[in-house]
Amino acid sequence: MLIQYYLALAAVLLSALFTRLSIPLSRYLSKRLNLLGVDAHKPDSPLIPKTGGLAVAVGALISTALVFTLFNLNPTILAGVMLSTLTAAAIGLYEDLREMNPVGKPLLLALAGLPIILLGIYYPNPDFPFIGRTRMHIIYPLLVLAGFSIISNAINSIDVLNGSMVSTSAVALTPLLIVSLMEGRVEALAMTAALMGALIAFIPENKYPAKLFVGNVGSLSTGALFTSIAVIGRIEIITIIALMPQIMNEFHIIFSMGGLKSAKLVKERPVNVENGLIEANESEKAPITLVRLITARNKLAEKNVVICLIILSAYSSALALITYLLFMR
Amino acid sequence: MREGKKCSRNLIAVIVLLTIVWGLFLAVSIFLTVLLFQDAIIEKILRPISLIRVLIGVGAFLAWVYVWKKLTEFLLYKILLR
Repeated sequence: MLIQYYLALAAVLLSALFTRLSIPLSRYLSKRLNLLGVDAHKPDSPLIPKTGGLAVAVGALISTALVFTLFNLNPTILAGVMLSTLTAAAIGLYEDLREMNPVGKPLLLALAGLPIILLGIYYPNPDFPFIGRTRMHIIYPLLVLAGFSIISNAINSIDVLNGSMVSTSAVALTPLLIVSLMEGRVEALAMTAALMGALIAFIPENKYPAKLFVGNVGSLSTGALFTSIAVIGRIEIITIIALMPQIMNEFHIIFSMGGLKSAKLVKERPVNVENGLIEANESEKAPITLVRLITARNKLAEKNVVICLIILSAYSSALALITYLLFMR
Repeated sequence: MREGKKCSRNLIAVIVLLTIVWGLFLAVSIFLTVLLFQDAIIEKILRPISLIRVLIGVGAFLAWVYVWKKLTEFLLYKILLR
């Protein structure tokens, strides 16, 4: 048990270190390639480098690779996770460069799950509350591919305010870390701790007022790592419950827009911004989002909305832990 | 002060929604346990029966997502934006 604590600590510290070291490089690349995003919720709409998420992906992956090597963990799992995350990061980077087809993007993201399937590093027996272990030999690989697409897009969909994706994801990783530790799933533990360290190290750059955006490269690779942790650690249900706010955000956007459509085609924005305060659009034609729910008839400053999102993530994380402790042990 | 209270109201409303959705998820799990998974899960069963179980399971979870959507619309348009 003690070695697991050392492993988790090493993963957190190494990923934080490599993320911090990669931040200047990702900032330089953003400026060099002119990858700048408009911070739309600020009165002066400043331009911010938007591929900071490269540092998160690099920090988490280098740390995972080092910890897997140092603690002699399964190299096939490491290869699968690296390939999946790099595929998602490449898709994200491409989307940062140019807009992607809204139908093609989820299909491409599903492909990020292929290395996990092809290398056979999954267990088609997911645990459910009350039911226990189930047998899904045929459908499980399809669910893994769908999972990569749904979770990556869900995490991407919450990246709308300064610090929102990074902080809510770090909170949602907490139950995954605790359950991996309690179940002795060392590979999942190493990956969770590495991702957590990378996200926490990135918060000072991304919190309000953001100096660096995480970008699609960061949110999609974070989503791919979340899915890999869920599949390899056999903690699928815990992950889904911990990510309920993000999944809710994604599904409601898709439902209220009547399918997968480009955000640029939406005539009514979900929220309006006035003097730095965010308020929900009251039109029924506007997409339903978490931020719209929080700001319905309620003008709030950007950082206060992010605090609300963090509280919701913490609550979902608590529900995930309760589910595990009461109904899955 | 008034704004702070309204923030709490919206946040509490979304927390209640998440709790209901979580409770419904557990209810779906109980439903599947009682109706479909009374036998040992790992035991070998006929493929058509296994397929029917999976289809009912997927159907139950799609119904859960649909109820989730309807509850959110009710919360936003009938309570928060009323």
